[in-house]
Amino acid sequence: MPRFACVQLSLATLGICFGCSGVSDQPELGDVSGKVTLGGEPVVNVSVYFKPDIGRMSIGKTDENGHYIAMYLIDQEGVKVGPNKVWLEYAPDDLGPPIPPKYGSQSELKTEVKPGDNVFDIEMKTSK
Amino acid sequence: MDSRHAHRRGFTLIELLVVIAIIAVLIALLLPAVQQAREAARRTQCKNNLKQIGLAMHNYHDTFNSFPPGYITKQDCNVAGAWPACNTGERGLWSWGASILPFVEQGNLTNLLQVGTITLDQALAIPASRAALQTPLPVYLCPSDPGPPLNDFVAASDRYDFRVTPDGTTMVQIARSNYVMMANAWDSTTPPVYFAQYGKPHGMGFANSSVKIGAITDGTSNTILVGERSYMYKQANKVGGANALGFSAATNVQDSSYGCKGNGLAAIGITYNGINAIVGGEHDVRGFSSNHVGGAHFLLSDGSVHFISENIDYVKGTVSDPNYFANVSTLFQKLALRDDGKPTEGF
Repeated sequence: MPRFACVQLSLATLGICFGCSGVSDQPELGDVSGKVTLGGEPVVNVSVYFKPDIGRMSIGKTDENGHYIAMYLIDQEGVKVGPNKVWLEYAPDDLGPPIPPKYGSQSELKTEVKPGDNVFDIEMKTSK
Repeated sequence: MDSRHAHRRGFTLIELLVVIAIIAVLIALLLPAVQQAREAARRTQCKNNLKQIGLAMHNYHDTFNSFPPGYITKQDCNVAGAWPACNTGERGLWSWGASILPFVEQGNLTNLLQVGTITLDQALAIPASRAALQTPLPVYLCPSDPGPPLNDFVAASDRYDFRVTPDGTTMVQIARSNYVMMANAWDSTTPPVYFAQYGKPHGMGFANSSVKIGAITDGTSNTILVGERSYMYKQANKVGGANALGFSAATNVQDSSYGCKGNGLAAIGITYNGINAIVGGEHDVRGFSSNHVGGAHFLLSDGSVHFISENIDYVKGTVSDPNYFANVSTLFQKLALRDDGKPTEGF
């Protein structure tokens, strides 16, 4: 009998252990990465913005190869799963080739982010 | 002496192992739990500070018929094209933290510093006042933030410098704070410091503001008054927090919105990149952040304090958009604005 009580007690403690860990309200995220090019050339230091219908934005900044990884928090990768509006913009101190308005301030880019890995390349044409 | 015949029942190996296992589990539970309890206590104090600030703000309103100005400037930047001219010479400006001192039981400090009679840089030149300016005020400090008692924040570029100069050359660190008034809901520092270009801000505290409760047409329980900003968050992103009593505008000579009175961001904040910005750049200093897991505390204009999740709906709206005010659609922005006229769902 005492042994049985011991087992019960330890199970109860484990229950408390898991029961008390905090529950986050963070939505489901999918990882998004890709490459930004303008007329075939990679665009460096441009920020790619993802905005879900309702929720927190994600931002990815391109490296010297035009590659970006969208971040949800400063230490967490991802974009909220579901439909997202996408646009490009330079941060206040970044400069580069002008972004055509239809990819920038008047962007109509959209993507459906799925759980798991997503690739979203943005290939812009120089003409417009 | 004949122990072999004594009937003393010992513990079996299993019983011993079970007891040891339980003790191990309990210790494993207790150690992190104690740390959690400490953070919970710090967080509660952090929240209570905001509550005290809220009471002080309302007592200020009862006395002066408006909420305190985000900061007080002699040269209100209202004249178009006067950007460089309106920023020269203001070495020390008092912020809202100094205005509400009598209402957080620091009336003696107000008298010593002569807030409103002399400017911050003049006070800094008086030894007794300088010592007072460098004494941390616990009501303005969030214990969850590991930052130093005096604010030494200087951005990598010269765009933000939270030190104050009494004479134009020496730079002096003054008491730090973790709380800033909500000024506006877009990306730019300009409206809170320079109204001519994009129009007046729609938040609660900005340059020479005097917002009355009647002007909060969205309702006091839907409008953020003060929010939290940490000196450093997520162990890496150093954004400088805020200054308790004021800042200097003479330390930065750039002819742009984030130059000059951009240092006013030591007292006020904009929604910019939401809560706990992702960018990791020096302009994150404009926003709101904390070291609590998952969000930050905000004081609403009705005096209530709420923890708002970093997952809140927001967008980095820009004042470059001609319809920026009409196009406000996200919850965080609507909470930041006092007169957007749009309903706010639960948060």
